[in-house]
Amino acid sequence: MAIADVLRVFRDLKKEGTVKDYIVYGSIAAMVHTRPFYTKDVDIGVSVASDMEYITIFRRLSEFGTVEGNHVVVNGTSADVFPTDVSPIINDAINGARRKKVENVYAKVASPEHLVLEALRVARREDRARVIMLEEAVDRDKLRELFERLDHDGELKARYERLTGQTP
Amino acid sequence: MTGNSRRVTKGLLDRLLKSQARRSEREKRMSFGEKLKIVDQLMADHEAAMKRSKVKR
Repeated sequence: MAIADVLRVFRDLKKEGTVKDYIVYGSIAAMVHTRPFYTKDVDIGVSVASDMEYITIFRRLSEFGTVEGNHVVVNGTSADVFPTDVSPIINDAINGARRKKVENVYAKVASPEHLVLEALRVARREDRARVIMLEEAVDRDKLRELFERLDHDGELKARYERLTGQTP
Repeated sequence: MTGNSRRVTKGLLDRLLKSQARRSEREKRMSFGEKLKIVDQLMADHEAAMKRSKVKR
């Protein structure tokens, strides 16, 4: 079981051109900015221009592991793979995301500020906990800038204020 | 924290909290690779525990 194996598969898919770009987000990305903690899977966003491109990625992924829906299991580690279009925040995160190295694999990882906004958007119990956890890692100026740019109706900001008791 | 425990001394609590904070800082500074190894282990432990609980049933 190794998360690095999943990242290695995506590196290879990018090298061969099946995947244009990808980003690690969700709990594994949060862990990069905070501390290690248990998670059941890896969330990966892939940049695709059509449904067909997304399907093609899964056809290729089935050669590396077991595929079920939007889910692939590689060497015992499961990954949820979504098009970055699933969220305007993830779509934004992939541009300019920093790369992190693990065992000769460089993977783009969502910033703590993008992770906070995405967690506020999804807003399950574990996502709310993630917002609190990431508080110590966020750059306040960057966070404010993201709220201004991506939170058009102010809903995410309102959720943030209710959750943390402070303005961004 | 209310600080009204009478079972252990304040000195012991302080030492434990400092140790916890140091560990937390150390984990935060780990490389991505080191953190992933810990998560890999946590995932493997969880899977093993799930299998054990299925066998018991």
